[in-house]
Amino acid sequence: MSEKKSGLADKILNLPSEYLYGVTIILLFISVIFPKIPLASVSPYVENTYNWVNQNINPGDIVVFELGNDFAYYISHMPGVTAVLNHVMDTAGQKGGKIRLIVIGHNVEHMLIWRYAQQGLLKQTMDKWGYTYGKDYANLGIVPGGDAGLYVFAKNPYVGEIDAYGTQLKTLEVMKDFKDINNVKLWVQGNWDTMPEIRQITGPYKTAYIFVGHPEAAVSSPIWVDSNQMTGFVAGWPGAQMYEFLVNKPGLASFGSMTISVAYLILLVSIVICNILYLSKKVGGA
Amino acid sequence: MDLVPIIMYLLAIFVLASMFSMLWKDNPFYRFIQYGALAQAMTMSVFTSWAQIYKVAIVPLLKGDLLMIVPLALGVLIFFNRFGVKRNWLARYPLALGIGIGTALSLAGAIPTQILGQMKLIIGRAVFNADFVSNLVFILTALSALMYFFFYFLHNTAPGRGVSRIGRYTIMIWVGASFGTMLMMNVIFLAYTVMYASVFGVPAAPNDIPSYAGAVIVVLVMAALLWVWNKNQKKEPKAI
Repeated sequence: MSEKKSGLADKILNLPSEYLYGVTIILLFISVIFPKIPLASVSPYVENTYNWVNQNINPGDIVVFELGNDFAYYISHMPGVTAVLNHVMDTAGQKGGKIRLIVIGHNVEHMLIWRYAQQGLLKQTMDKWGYTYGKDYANLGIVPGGDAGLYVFAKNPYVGEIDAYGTQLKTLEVMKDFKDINNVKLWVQGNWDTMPEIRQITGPYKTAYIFVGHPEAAVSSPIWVDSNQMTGFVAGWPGAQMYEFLVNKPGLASFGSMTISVAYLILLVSIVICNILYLSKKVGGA
Repeated sequence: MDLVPIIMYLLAIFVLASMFSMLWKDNPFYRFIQYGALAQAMTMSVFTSWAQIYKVAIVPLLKGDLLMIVPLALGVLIFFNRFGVKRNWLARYPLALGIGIGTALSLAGAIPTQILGQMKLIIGRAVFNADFVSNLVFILTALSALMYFFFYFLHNTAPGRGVSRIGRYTIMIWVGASFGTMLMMNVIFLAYTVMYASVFGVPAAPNDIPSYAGAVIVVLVMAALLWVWNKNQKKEPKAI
């Protein structure tokens, strides 16, 4: 009996990995084609972020949106920044006006991400409220230099002189009265490192700051909110799903959470089965 | 109908399938995409760096801002790192300046935020917060982790050993939670890839042929080519 067990365990444990990958991909495809949005229990941090935007964003406010990652990592916070920025623009719109959105980046892929992904994801809301480039929003391009770059930008947003498309910043209507970081109402960041912004923006200037990071932000960001150095955060797709639930607009994160859950389930089931087989083999062999 | 998005979608499917083909074994499609990604990253990096230098330094210099010669000259000095041992000392000046300014700004910002800001949080929690259990856990975690790292000379005493052990466990919990969430990021990449291929692609190609049919054809052609390639591979001699 034990030999049979160990033989079966051996067979399963030595199954070609291609079959396992194939089954995983097929299951993931099924979860995408027949999506079900799982229930979201909203974290108090995400709820506070949502409430802050509702209560504090007004027409005419300057909002800086900072994109920090390359395309790969951008995917982990793409639904989050989309949900937050759509909500910010909707809130100002419902109060009868528009925010002034200033987009900056750090990574060499900033312009690719903005042009081929983020701009398209915000297009519907921008069209709804009539946002026009130069008047209501502008992309200032890359602000290089980490801490030093942010330090200079906070004191002088005109340091680059021209925007990402070569227009003089002084001629853009959206930059009117934007003298330094004190004029900024909210700083929204999509990145995985929050330290330079805390050191150079929220620490010295007390600017409201929403961090949209990868899922690890759920572990590392609460201390910054608790110490009043961060207004709120949205951690990865789970955080984005909570935000989409609060604004009642299911988006990419809501539809994708089923796929993520299925992927996790496959991982867990594989770990459990492999451990049981290993143990049965060990007992059988003993 | 605009064919560009359909071609882009099919190209994306080709790239995705090439990347996933590595799960089977190393093959020419995977290598092509791997080197292509590297070349793209290098090109983007060089192009963007040049564009940035042009925007921030060269344009103002051409307009008469002679002060811009200083950062440009410092930038040129970096290249002396490659001009032999005799001259590479020149590269140390821009490096020293950059590291010095970066460290100074980071430290100046870190003291009020990362050190004093967090100390205020711990003291505030200890004195003012009403949630007793949460406070206790928070303060014990913070102090025991600090004990583990900084007060190692107390590790020889019995209480010091006990507290630092608690610190070690709390650090392990944090590392475990971080690892779990980092794993989730990779799962998100996989989920997005699958979502892009199946939902966010182009819904229909000309003549109402679903573009997924095109994607399936791309994958099948690739699979056929890989099969031929695999068959023509020279079999390695068996070890005696």
